[in-house]
Amino acid sequence: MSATRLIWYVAGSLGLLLIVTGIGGVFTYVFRKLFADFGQRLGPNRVGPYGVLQLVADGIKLFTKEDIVPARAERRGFLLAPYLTFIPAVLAFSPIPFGRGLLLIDVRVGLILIFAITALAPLGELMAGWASNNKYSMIGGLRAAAMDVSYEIPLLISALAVILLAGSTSTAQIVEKQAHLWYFLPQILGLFVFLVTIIGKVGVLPFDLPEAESELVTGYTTEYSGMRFAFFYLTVFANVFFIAAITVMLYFGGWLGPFGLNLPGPLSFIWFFAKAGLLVFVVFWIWNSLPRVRIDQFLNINWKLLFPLSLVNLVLTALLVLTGVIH
Amino acid sequence: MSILTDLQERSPAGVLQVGALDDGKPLMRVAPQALPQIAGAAKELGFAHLACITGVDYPDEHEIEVIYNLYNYDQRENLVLKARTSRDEARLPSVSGVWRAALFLERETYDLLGVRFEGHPDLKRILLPEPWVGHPLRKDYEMNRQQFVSKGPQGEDVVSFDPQEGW
Amino acid sequence: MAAYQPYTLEAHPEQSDWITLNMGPQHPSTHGVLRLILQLDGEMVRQVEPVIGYLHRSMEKMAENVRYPHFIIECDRADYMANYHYEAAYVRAVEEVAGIAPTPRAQFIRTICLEFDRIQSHLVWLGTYGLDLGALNAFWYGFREREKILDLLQELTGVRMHPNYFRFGGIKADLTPDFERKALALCDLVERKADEYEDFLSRSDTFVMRTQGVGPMPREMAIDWGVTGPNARASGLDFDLRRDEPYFAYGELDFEVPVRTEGDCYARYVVRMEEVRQSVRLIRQALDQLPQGPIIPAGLEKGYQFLVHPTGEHYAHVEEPRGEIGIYLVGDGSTFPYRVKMRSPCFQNLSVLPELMRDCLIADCVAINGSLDLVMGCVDR
Repeated sequence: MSATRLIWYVAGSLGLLLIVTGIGGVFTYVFRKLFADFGQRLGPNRVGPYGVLQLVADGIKLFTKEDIVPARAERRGFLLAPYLTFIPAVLAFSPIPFGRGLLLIDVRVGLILIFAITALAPLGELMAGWASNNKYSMIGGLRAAAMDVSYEIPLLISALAVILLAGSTSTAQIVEKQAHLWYFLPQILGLFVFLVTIIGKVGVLPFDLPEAESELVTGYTTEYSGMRFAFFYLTVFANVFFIAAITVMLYFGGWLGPFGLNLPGPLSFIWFFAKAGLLVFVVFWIWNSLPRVRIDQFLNINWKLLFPLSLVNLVLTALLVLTGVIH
Repeated sequence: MSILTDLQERSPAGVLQVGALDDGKPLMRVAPQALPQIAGAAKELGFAHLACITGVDYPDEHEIEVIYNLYNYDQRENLVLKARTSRDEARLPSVSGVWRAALFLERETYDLLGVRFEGHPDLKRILLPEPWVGHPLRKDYEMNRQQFVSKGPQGEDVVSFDPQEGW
Repeated sequence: MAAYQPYTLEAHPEQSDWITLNMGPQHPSTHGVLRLILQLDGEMVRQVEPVIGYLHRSMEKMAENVRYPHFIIECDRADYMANYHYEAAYVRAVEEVAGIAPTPRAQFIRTICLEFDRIQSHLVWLGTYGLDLGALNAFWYGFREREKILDLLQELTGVRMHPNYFRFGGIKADLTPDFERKALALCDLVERKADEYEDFLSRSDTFVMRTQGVGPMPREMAIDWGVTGPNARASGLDFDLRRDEPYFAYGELDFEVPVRTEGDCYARYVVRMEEVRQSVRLIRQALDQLPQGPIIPAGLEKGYQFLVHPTGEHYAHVEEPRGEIGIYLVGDGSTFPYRVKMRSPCFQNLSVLPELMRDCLIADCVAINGSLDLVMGCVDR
């Protein structure tokens, strides 16, 4: 590996970590302000102008809290679990192109790599739930594992339909192939299934069963405090950004502008972040409006609605590609 | 007072006195042994709602009186049953087989007044912790002593008296 | 009827792989200090045992040691969500034993207070129930209108909670000059907002999915276990103390009593929302028909309240937002009551909880617990 590649990887990884963590941090503030707005309230407005320093205050608070490890918790699992959920969440961003050429890893199997990485997430949640030595955490962890595993299938099948359309699993190629047609138009059904399943996989309301606050205190994160809890918290928001990023990449043309109005070179990330921002708003909107589903209803929706829909979508896409309507 | 005559017919030996409360509600004093039978008869007559079980301590008469307030939803009628038992051996048959509402109410009367309800499937303290000593609503309950609840080594409730007072 | 069998671990040896989960005294959705010992088989709840008494303040013993008017202050701490109703029950009991006739104006003002109390209690229930189920905004919406009601009642009585407003024979103070106008404006607002809240929740498919068919309570079960109030009316029991055993000014007011037959959580929700609208209707009528006159009979103002020494026994009941409150008063003519028994509706509503939670999921536990609208102060007294 040449020296430039090495520097690119190291600097890029650090940059990616900073970007994702930074965005996660900003989202804690945006999330609270948006929620306040939806509920006709004000939200944080004491710390700094319009409360923007709230995230700094939250960070300081979480940093300086006492690090409590329960006496009977399984120590190694307990300590390892936050990192096991956070690292895949950040790593999954590496094949996603933020702009023209602005992606950390450009491999031919980028999309498959993303899904392989995100499949690690339930491991961390299960480990946190088990190692906490707390029945609430265990139930939360088990729910997380069940949900993640069952929602993978319609997710992957919807992504498969996009792969069929693009003819490649490389993330950069998928974005470039959308130059004349963004994929959300022929894939309305697929977009719907994809969005629902990825919200379910990540675990935000209405699918936040693993950490259903009113049932399981905080689910698998119950015993965590201080910086370790901050990792879980950041993971949630990093995942929200991940939902937006991957949906934009697969269905909304990535860093491409509408009607061919692409921004030149490195500035192309502006379109990407604008579209991702809009999608984040939609996710927060859904988060705030809907009550929580029960686990058996959740699995029902998956197997009786989303899975058949994703198969139908796959077949329709295959027909579209075979008959040459979309090339 | 046809209800009272009806009930009296069904169990003449158990009924001690028939009359009315001050506010006009039909009142029937029953002997403790006849209580389940009269309760069952009352329920058959339509008194499906057991509103309240009250225990009153009369230390001067050495008796505890337990009062059952019944209500008939269809006819909008009231009925009051009263049963007395001695203070030292306070025992009454349970009516939880007739009205399930009695399950919690009898537990409360046992907890606070010490009346044992025979036939109750789960008679244990409900408002006070299990190891509590004494029945607070009795008139001779010592209120000047400090009683507090703490946690024992296994996390169980431990009730202890004030160290100065001893126990 | 089959004898009631409580659950013991020895009686069920096949359940060695059930886990015992403490939905403990501290939990975001047990609404107060209620401990539910759940026996879980995976995610299914097989057995529930409620443990109560964490908020027991020995109110009945206190009643025997304070004078009659003092207990008005104490009894409204029993159910802190419906303060006026406990006061109403106690005051009604004493009045009927002592033979005091309240003034007509006081009766109407009492009715208005009770109905506002009912609305604010149902709004709290709505907010916390939505929050339990995950509809986070319901909390803010419910409490927003409740603030305005509490502000109005604060103008009237001086405090938001524990008003100590009712007296034997009447009330403490008359309406403030601007009360009628503000009350009518608030009625309009609450009516509009009630439609908004129903819209927010009833049209949410997830909410309906979470509550329909969950925790069904047949009518016979409700009557047998002593459940009263909206919980029983949602199961088909068409009985409301305000209409069928009228007290205060309810006999002269015209309103409907919502009754549903399904008996599940959704029916309880619908009944409560409808009761809010009926309460608004009652307040408007009461303000319309408000008679002039004194608010307390002559000879019973202020210090003369202590001269009330009733002799006799009486059971007085009042329809609270959660059911039937009863006060069984035994008076022996002295300055202290001989016995005050508080029949608490939440105590009875709680007793039916293990039956409703049989074979449900943990998520349903929360839904059922919330739909019964338990307030632990009322349960434990």
